[in-house]
Amino acid sequence: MLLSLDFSSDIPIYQQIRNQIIIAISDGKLLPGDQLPTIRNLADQSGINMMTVSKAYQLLKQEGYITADRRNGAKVAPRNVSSSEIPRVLHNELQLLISQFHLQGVKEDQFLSLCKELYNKEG
Amino acid sequence: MFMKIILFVFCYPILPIMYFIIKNELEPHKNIILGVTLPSDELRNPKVKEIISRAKKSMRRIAIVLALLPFTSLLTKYDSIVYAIFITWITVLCFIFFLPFMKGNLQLHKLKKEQNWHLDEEGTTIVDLKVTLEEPNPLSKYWFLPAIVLTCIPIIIDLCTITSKDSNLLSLATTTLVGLVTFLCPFLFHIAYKTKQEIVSQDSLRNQTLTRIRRYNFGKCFIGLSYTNAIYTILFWLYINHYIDSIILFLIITLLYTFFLLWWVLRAEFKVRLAQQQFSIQSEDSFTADEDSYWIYGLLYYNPNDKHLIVPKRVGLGTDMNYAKPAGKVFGVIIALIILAMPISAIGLIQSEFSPLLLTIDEESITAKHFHTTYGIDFDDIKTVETWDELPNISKDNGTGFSTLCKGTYSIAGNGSCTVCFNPTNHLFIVITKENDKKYVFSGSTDKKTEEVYNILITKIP
Repeated sequence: MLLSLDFSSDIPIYQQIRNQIIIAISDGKLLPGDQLPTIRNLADQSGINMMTVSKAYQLLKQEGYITADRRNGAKVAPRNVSSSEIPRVLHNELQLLISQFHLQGVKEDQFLSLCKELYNKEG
Repeated sequence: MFMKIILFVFCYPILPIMYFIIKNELEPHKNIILGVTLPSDELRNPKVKEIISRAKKSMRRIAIVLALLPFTSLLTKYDSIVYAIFITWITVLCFIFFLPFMKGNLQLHKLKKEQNWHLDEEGTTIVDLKVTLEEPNPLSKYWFLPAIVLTCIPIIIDLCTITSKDSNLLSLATTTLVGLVTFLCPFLFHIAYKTKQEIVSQDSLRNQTLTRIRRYNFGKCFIGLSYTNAIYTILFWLYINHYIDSIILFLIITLLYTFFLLWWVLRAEFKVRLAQQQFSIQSEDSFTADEDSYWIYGLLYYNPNDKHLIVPKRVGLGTDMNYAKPAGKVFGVIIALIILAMPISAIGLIQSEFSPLLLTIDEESITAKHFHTTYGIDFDDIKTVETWDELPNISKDNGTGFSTLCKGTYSIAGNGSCTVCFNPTNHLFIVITKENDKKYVFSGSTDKKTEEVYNILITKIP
């Protein structure tokens, strides 16, 4: 699985790492139980600061996408598919996204069509 | 004549080596050509081929002119001018082949912009998570131990037998300097395993294998370099301590040493290049990160966001520095100063060779002076004075040696180590032995001058 880090982007690097790992988990490129590199290794190989990688991993752990401990390192967390409750955080992020699309003049049916297309890609 | 032969044998091969290394960069590797990343299907584009062809022609013309230049040294008898010609030639060689490369790089960048050949991952850093999972350390660092021990032997011997004699200190200093390369190798070996991954595909197994091949081959390269340098350090020490007397033999050893150093690096580089080519061709989903924005003219890496100090070179062999980092900037300045110092040193040498040799005598002492060096001996310190009309076999320990000047400390057959300042083409030399049995051999610029001084000297000595 390739991580693509764009240093010229407005999105902070830790956020980019976090976003791409989530997408990879959703795409099935990273499966529950898959080992992630250590913070030091990922920082060394990508040439970024260890604190940046650590922040990304902390965020992923907080959001429940990965588990991390000293003995086993960082691993992709098992998925909790039974829960039908939408997390508050995701609700707020979606609201912000919808506002942005609305301001761009995108119609509701256009937006929903796009959502369906992207959702089906995730599989 | 001897110096000219040495310079030709040692310096001339630099030209074909530099030419072929840079020419090799005019072939695509990992979708990169002339330091520009292009989409795979545009590598054979006629406009791209035209730019490469022009760069090749330009390089060929430069190579022909440079191949002829060193022969101008045959027209002069002065060693310093021969040296100046070669050192200026080498300085020019350091950058001249890069000029058509840089021109081609700019033209290709312009074409890429015009044709809108932008890759998806332009200006990004790509990391393969699966490759990062692997601990990069297949070769054991203990391989360096025997080489380090071998290198330490002559240094320890010098340390144990150290005296205040110049020759002892010189042996220790120079042997340690030569041995430094061995000590540097484990450090570079460690760096080799921390360099960037080889990303050529979405398939992590390909990237993993290629990364392993690079790290393994360069790891072996540094182990080989350390052993080669260890052996050379010992041979160098033997020569500097006169266990090897023949300068020809020593020069052959140095030539072989240089050859093996180059062989280790070329071997590693071409094994990796071959693997890169094969893996790129085989891959259906070939992938190349476009890092052009971080490479100045495709030659110098400048990425303030990358904490790596040492990165694999894009052009040429081996590794390069990240010039965005303070250490990289310092390194760049040092290299630039060394390159600039080379032709400047030639000026000093020319001044030295053309400075007159002065042998003077006054009421209290005899003085031999050349350029900035003065040897003065008070009459009270003189034990004996004699003359030679023929010079025994001499070899330089340290100092200056032109065809018309020998200055410094020389070993003279049957006389041991002597301080000298004379014109070896003369037929009359004054040999002074001081009270402490130290010997000095002087001459004036001509035999006549030497005789004049000698005649005065013998009247001053009781």
